[in-house]
Parts: sequence; structure tokens; C-alpha cells
Amino acid sequence: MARKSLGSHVTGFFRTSGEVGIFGFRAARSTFRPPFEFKEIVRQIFEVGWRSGPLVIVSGFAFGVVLALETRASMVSFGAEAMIPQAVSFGLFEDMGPLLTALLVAGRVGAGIGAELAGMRVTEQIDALEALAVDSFKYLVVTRVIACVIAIPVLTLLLDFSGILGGMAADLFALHMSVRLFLNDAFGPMGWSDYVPPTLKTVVFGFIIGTISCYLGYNATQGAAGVGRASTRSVVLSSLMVILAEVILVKSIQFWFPG
Amino acid sequence: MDNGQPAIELKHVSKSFGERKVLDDVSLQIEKGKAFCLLGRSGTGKSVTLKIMIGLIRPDRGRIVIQGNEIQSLDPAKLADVRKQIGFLFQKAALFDSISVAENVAFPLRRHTKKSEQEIQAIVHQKLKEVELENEGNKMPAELSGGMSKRAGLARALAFDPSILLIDEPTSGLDHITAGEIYELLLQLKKNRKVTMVVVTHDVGGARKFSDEFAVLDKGKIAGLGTAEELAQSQNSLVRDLAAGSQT
Repeated sequence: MARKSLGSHVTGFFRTSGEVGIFGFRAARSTFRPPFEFKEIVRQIFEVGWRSGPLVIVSGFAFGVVLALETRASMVSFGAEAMIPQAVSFGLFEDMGPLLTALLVAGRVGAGIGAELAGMRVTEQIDALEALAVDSFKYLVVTRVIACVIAIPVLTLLLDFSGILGGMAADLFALHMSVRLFLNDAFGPMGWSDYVPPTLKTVVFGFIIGTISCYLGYNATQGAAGVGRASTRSVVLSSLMVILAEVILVKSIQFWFPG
Repeated sequence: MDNGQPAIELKHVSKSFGERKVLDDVSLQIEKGKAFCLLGRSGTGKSVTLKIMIGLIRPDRGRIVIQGNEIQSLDPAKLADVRKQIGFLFQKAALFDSISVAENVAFPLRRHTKKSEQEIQAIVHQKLKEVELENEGNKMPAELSGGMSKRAGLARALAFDPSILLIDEPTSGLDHITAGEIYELLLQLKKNRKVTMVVVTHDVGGARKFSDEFAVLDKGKIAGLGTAEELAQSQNSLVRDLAAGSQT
């Protein structure tokens, strides 16, 4: 019985993965076919991007402070306090900034999209769109996926820079380092390959979050319970897939942009 | 366009969900301008039949012809054109809950016409007035009562002046007085425009006010077809019982 249950879980996982893949492919293909829902895309960018801004900025600032204070302890023991700004900037731009942004967005936006679309599905609003001769997939799914793809790189930069501000604030208080020196040390050693590829990889994170949460919401069933499930699973699956994608993308970026 | 063909035709339509066969070789013809009422016990596929008619659910077998167009063979653009001629009132109205009642009514007009904002507002006002909600346009759907939601849904369904109206349980969950108002609205629609109506309901008594023909769905098949009086004479006890429900 347990073996059968495990087997059905494995089958279910692969089936869902395949369905999400096809769903994402359909969304990507539909992006380039009219009608282009520009108004709805702008509205969704506002929902995904603008409304996530405060969360991302505050989290980034706090993360920058923590990063600076945590690295300080190690750096001091090596007499390398001057390296703290560089550690903060590299830590944010290259490693943690994109991932942290994606996880924050997966939590806020993924849950929102999953719940909203699931609510629309179970109250027949998606059927109503179709009955009104509107392509619900293009109107609801493609617009949200595009919004995530566009908004997350911008949010990542917001988080990175607010993190630098946080790190700088921590260093100003702890080391009494000047702003100019901090910024020189933070950005001086950085080349374009240190921040452009890591920021652009968040396009993939945006696509993952948009696709998974739209898939779970758009295909929700079973009333209010289904709405809750879609919302929770959107966060869990999006976050998990973002982390897995990060592993692959980090290796790819290191391969294509060494040094 | 009007060459005597029925407004809606279902030909040998079957539909199953998993093991459960909901429709089994169902054929129906609904003439233009007629009001047709679908009756049956809960879960007998009445709402599924409505959704099949507008292409929201694909049948496993059979053909659906709407005003001469076989909808399964239409490309998405042509299917959208057919849908623009059909108004659909959902059981729980299915109003878009993130926009106001007036915006709900304006939604299809903004999407599919090049009308000016002034013209759209005029149509919205007229449609809301028809359903006696002209003062409720700024409310959000969540602020409406059940009867008001149904009427707002009807206003949205009428936005395009459709030639066909599909209505799913227009009076479920409503008190007798509100239900009577909805039936009166449907009667006026039938009288004033030549709208073809397909109405799913349990309330035969109310439906008698405007329906020309009734069909009873049972176990996936049409168990009875005819006027309310004809159904009352049926050999099938379920059909008789449903028709008798009209007397209560």
C-alpha cells in the first residue's frame, strides 16, 4: 500500500511537472501572438512590482545591515575590514540578492496570483471571461507571467541597492568609514559580469514564479479549499523551483562568465 | 443568416467526467426566439449542457451548432464571434469581483467595440436601468445581494444585445418575490426582443411564465420534451413529478 502510494506520488510529480512545463511553453508562445494585453500587463506590473517594492526595499536594507555586521566579525579576525564593502556588494549582487528577491516575490506575489486565479476559477469568473469572448489564458496568465518576468529584475536591483545602503549604514556606524570610501570599495572591483548576468537570471525566476502560481490558480478545483491549496502550493513550489534553478544558473554563469 | 435553421442544435452529444456519464447521446433543437427550459434533478448535467452550448466544455462526442456554426470546428477568433452573440448568466452571476458593477457591464464593450467612453457609459446605464440597478453601478459585486448580483450578471450578459441568452438557475437561493422579479425581467426580454433563451431551473412554476418548451434531463438522456402541460401527462413519473412541482 505504501509502495503504491509512493509510486502514485512520483507519477503525480512527473505529471504535474510536465503539465507546468507545457503551461509555461504555451504562455511563452502566446506572449508573441496578438492580442497584446498591454493595459493588463501594465496593471499587473504595478501589482507585482510596485506593490512589492516596500517589502523588497526594507528586506534588502535589513539584509545589507546583517551581511555587513556578520562579515565584519570574520574580516576583523583577518585584519581585512576594508574588504567589508566588497563582501557586501558581491554578496548582494552576485549571490543572495537575486535569490532573496525571488523568494520574497514568490511569497508575496506567488500566493496572491495563486489565490486570485483560483478564486476566479471556482466562482466561474474565468468561464465568464471565455463566455464574453475573451481569451482567459492570454488575459490572466500571459499578462501575469510577463509582469513577473519584467518586475523581478527591477526588484532585484532595488533590493541590491537598498542592501548596499544597509551595509553602508552599518559600516558608517561601526567603522566610521566614509560614504565615498565605502562606495569605492563596494563597486570598484566589480565588473559587468559580476552584476549583469546574476540580475538577468532573475528573468528565469520571474518566469518560474509566474508560471507555477498561474498554473496552480488557473487549474484550481474544489471551492474554497482549492483556493487555499493553490495559494499555499504556489509559494512552496515556486520557492523550491527558484532554489533549484539558482543551483543550475549559478553553475551556468560561472561557466560562461568565469572570474 | 435567418434561413429557418434553429438557433441552437445539439446532435448526439455525449459527455463523461471520469467514469460518470453526464450526457448520453443527447439531441436538442431550440428554435429562434423561443424560450426553452431545461429541468432535472441536481447533478443531471443541465449546467454542463449550457456550458457545452457555448463551448466552455467540449463534448466527448456529438456536434453543437449555434446559428449555423458548428462550434467545435471554429478557430478561436470565429468562436469568439459566435460567443459575442450569446449572453451567459452564471448560477452565481460570476461578476468580476475586482471591478465595479458598471465596469462589469462595460467590460465586454471595452474589449470588443471601438465605442467612445460616452457611448459605453450610455449603454451601461441603459442595461443597468433595464435590470433596475441604475443606482448601483458604483458598487462592488461583494456589496450586492443575491438577487442584485443575478440582475447585474444579466445586465452584463445583455451588454452586446445578444440573440441567444443562456441562463443557469436564475432564481436559485432567492426569495419568491425576488425570483418573481427575475422571471418578469426574462418575460420582458422575450417580449421586447426576440431573444432565444435557454434556462436551467428547478422552478417550473416560475419558468412557465416565459418558457415555450421544457426538456427534462435524467440519467444523461432527455426523459421528456414538450410544454409544461405535455410533461404533466408524461408516462415517466420523474417528468410528471417535475411538472407537478410547478403546481406547488
